[in-house]
Amino acid sequence: MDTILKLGRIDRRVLYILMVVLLLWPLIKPLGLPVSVSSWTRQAYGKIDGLKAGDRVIIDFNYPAAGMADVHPQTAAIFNHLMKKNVRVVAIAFVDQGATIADNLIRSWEAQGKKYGEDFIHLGYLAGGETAMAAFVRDIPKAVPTDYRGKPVSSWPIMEGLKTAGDAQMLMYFTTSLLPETWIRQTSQWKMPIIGGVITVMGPQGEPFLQSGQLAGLLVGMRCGAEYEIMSKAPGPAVAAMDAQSIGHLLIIVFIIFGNIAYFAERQGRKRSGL
Amino acid sequence: MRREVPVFLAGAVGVLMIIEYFFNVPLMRSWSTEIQNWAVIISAFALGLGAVGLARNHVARISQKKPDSINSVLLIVTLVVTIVSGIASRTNPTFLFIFNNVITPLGSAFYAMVAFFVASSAYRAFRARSLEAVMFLVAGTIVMLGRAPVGEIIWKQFPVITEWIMKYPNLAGMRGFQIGVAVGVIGVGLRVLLGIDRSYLGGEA
Amino acid sequence: MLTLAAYSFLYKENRFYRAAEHIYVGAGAGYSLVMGYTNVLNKAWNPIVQKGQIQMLIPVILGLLLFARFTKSVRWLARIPLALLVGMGAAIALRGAVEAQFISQVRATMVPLTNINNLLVVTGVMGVLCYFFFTFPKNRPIQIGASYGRWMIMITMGAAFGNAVMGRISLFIGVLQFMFGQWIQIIK
Repeated sequence: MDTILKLGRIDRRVLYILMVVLLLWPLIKPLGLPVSVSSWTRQAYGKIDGLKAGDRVIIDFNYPAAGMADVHPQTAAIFNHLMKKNVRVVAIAFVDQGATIADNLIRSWEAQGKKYGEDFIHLGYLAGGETAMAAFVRDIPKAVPTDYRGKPVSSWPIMEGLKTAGDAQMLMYFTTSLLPETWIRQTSQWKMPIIGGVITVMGPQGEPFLQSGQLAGLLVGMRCGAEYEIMSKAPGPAVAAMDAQSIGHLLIIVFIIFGNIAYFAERQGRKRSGL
Repeated sequence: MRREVPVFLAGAVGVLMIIEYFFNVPLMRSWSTEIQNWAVIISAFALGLGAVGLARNHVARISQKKPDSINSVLLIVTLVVTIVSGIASRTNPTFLFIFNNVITPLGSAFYAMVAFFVASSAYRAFRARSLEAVMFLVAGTIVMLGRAPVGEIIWKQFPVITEWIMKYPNLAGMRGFQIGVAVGVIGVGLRVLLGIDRSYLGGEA
Repeated sequence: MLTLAAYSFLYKENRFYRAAEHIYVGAGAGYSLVMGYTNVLNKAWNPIVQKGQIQMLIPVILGLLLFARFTKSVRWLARIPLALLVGMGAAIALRGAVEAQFISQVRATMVPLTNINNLLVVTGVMGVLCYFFFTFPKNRPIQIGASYGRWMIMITMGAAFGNAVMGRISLFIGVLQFMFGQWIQIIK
């Protein structure tokens, strides 16, 4: 009985060390657990795979550097897919740090031979949240007169014919905080396909919009990033993290079980001593 | 006047935005687009507000020689170096170094620290005290197992049940929230535009 | 090193953690100011100076008025640009919410009651809405609906909790990949 009660009194720092060790171990020595692909990722992949070479996609890099671990694997995997299909990308950020994240990604693709201004363009950061989005979707060249590199936006071939958001074939947003209804509200007049890539915590909130058809696809967190990497046949850091993710979940479940065993044992003890 | 003018302005601009959205009036549409672009510029100034406020606060701490003012020195130095290098060029090596080696790892570290608190609270606080708490814990456990590769190895049906939970009960709950939130957004929006809600003006006269 | 300083907080609060915190806040605020400056330069300054668009002086003046909050005697002037932003934000959200959040979501709930899943969705949505009636006393049918809605909310919150745990663990795995992959390089 004492042992069971002790289960409920482990110092939190012991728990923290346990967590670090058990999460690190599968990263150093992978377990090789298979990762199946969910219907969410299949749906999003299918919609993106349906784009044709030369199509234009607007991507909103709506996440700060702090959320990169959960969201960036999806962004990178999808960007990889789009580049392989020669789909053109118009990158914009409505979160300030998203601008540098987008710039880093675009430059990495330039180093692989893709052309800035033809294959992609970076429109930079636009302050103002949803108000800025409303201005952007209505008149893109007016909202963003110069790109992230300081050149007039109209001077680039990729921007030819792109006046409103509706002139693009798809919109994607990757975010750690933007609610799904924000982009849906602003682009409702064009009914354009929207794919959301969100941090895991926000996954449940997107489900109503996915079911209603207002979102064409929804990717949730690092797990969907890993699945997308598998579907694109380009496994990366997200796939590598899945073993550690499994151990982490099991650990939390064990903590819950231990905590509850100790709680019920304590309750039993109190009932007995109360009699 | 000090409260009435801003309230009137908020209402007038808001009404313009709504009318031009629902009615096709070209002149109103062009005014509306222009004002939205003004809002982007005003919001950009607001970004500077945070930095200026921080600088004032911490310079005051340094000049008053408060305890731990060395941290304020660190803050001001980092602030100034970031601003100077960034204004020179957003691809300046120092600016990019600060983004890639200070902001990114520290931001990730602080954001991820919550994982430890989740683990600690899972251990100490998540008690099956009632049937509803049991439902909560069971749903959470099934979702955790269904979304991790190990769950599928333990039992093949975990991912299937997780998907069912997300697509049906979770959908119902979230949709109920969404409809409630939509009513709330409309209600609060109307209150702001009609000048009933003036909390954004602050407390002073 | 900065990451280790940040995590030293888990042992107890200490000067290294506070130093890391202050460095992060300074860098973050500086970064935001740089991005704001670039927006003002590209959208206001250059149009005024290079294209003679004098009307862009208006948002510049309004933006500068925001800084009036630092001076007690003219603090009220900061309300003007704030009112513009708040009014605009409220209207932009409101006008879109009617169709995108309310009508579309209600329409999507009207599914044929031909299987148990659809029945669950329709009754679940109604139950959750019943639960959130707080402004009038609930009669018996609404009370039953509210109890059912409460169960649905518990399952929804459970799913949200599962996702929250997943998300936080993913973020920490990212930190480990950075520290032990890029820095110490024991993760291949």
